[in-house]
Amino acid sequence: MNALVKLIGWDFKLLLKYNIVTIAIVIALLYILLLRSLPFPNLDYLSILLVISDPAMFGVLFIGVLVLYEKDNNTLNALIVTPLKPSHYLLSKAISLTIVAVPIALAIGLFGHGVDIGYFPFLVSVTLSSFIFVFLGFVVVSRSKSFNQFVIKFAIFTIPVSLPFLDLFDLIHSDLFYLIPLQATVLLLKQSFNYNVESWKYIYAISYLLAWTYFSYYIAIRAYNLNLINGR
Amino acid sequence: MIKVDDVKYTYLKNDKPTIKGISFNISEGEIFGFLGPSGAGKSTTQNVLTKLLRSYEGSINILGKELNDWKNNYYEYIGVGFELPNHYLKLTAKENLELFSTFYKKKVIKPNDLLAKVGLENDADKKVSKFSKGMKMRLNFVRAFMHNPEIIFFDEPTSGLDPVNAKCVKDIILELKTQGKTIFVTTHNMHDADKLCDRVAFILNGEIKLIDQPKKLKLQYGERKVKVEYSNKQSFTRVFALDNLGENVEFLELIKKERIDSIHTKEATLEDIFIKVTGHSLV
Repeated sequence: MNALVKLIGWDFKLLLKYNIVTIAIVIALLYILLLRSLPFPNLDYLSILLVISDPAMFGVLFIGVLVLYEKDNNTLNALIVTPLKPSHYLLSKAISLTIVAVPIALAIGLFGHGVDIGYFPFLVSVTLSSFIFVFLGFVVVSRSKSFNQFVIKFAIFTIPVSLPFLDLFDLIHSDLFYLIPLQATVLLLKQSFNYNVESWKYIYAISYLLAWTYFSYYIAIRAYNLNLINGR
Repeated sequence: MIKVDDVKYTYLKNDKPTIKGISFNISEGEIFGFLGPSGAGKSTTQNVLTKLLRSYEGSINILGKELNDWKNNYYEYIGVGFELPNHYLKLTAKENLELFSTFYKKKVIKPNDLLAKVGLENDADKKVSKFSKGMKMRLNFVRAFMHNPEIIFFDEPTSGLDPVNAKCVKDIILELKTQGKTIFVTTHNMHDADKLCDRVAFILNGEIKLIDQPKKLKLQYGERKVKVEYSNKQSFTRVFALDNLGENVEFLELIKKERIDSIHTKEATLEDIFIKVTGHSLV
């Protein structure tokens, strides 16, 4: 546990050194500026879109950047021949990125909707989504050899994952969207913005995000062992 | 300490094995050299032994346990020095060592003491991105034994180093041996192998062609002759048989009368022996 805490500290330091925290804050400020400049009376749905894109960006894009840095500098090999556990490696990355993602998402939420948000569903939604995106992002990047390859895979990954936004903006409705974890994230954010989400949907959302957190963690550990060690 | 028995390794994307059934033993406190040209299978063998590559065939017993049965705590007992630098470039040298020290349960050597060993004490707070390749390699080198491991693997430990720093690294390897460490060195540098290793294995195309002590090999494959260089306005060289040298009148006359510049036995170099045994050069 102590080793994990120390490692989170180092990962956080690396996020600062690679300017990832600065980039994230700048993007969040741009989002907030956008929300403040729009003339629409209700910005909730747009806020939900932007709040989700924050942990999604942190998760998928920044884990990609971090791991590609480690691949390029051969640091991953050096890490693998230490007693560092794959679980610590992944959890440390997920926790450090989430620590940065959550306050930024909260700031976007507060500026977009106002202070009367339901903090519990909001924080559960953003935290678990961030974990899921980090773990899935790791799976994508573990199979990528270059940044270009990663960006293409990232784009391919983003399209099906983003389908629940069609439901949010009343464009297409489908029960199949409930299979996509982002649907659960959207429902919890709607709940936190005081839209009365039915109880079963609320329970589904929390349970489904928890299940996906575990599942994505499991496949990330598998990807670590398969792609970073044996598949090199 | 290390027992390798008929080990084969095939990369996932290959049909044929890169390592084709190699066997060797390494005793505690021994420096064992893996000598061969690029692509011979040296690094693959090291990567298998350090579990960077898994799914080998055959048996590898390290510290009394089959390699496959070792979990992550294996790395508390072994240290690995890579051929290429692998650091967090945005961190300083000291921060890199501090970061890696968090992974070990064992007590680690203080970063400043490690850096001082390889002349980097004044660069401790410099970002590694500002380091030359030689400096990065020295940092690689000390990181391998920061946790006082029983077995240390060095892949081309003097690669990219100037002669002064290469000597410093070799002296430290010999010092580690005096501390009882078991050391596995892969190299294509015959001088390093000759200076450092108690035994060397010649590897080519994934097969071990020979294992022996460098000293024995040099005598066995050398000519039993002595070469005398002397000068008398001009330089001259003469070669005599070593057998009955003390009764060789010509030799005795020569060393009595002439100004001798050098006398050397004609033992073979490891490179000569490698070529003789494998039919292939080390480069």
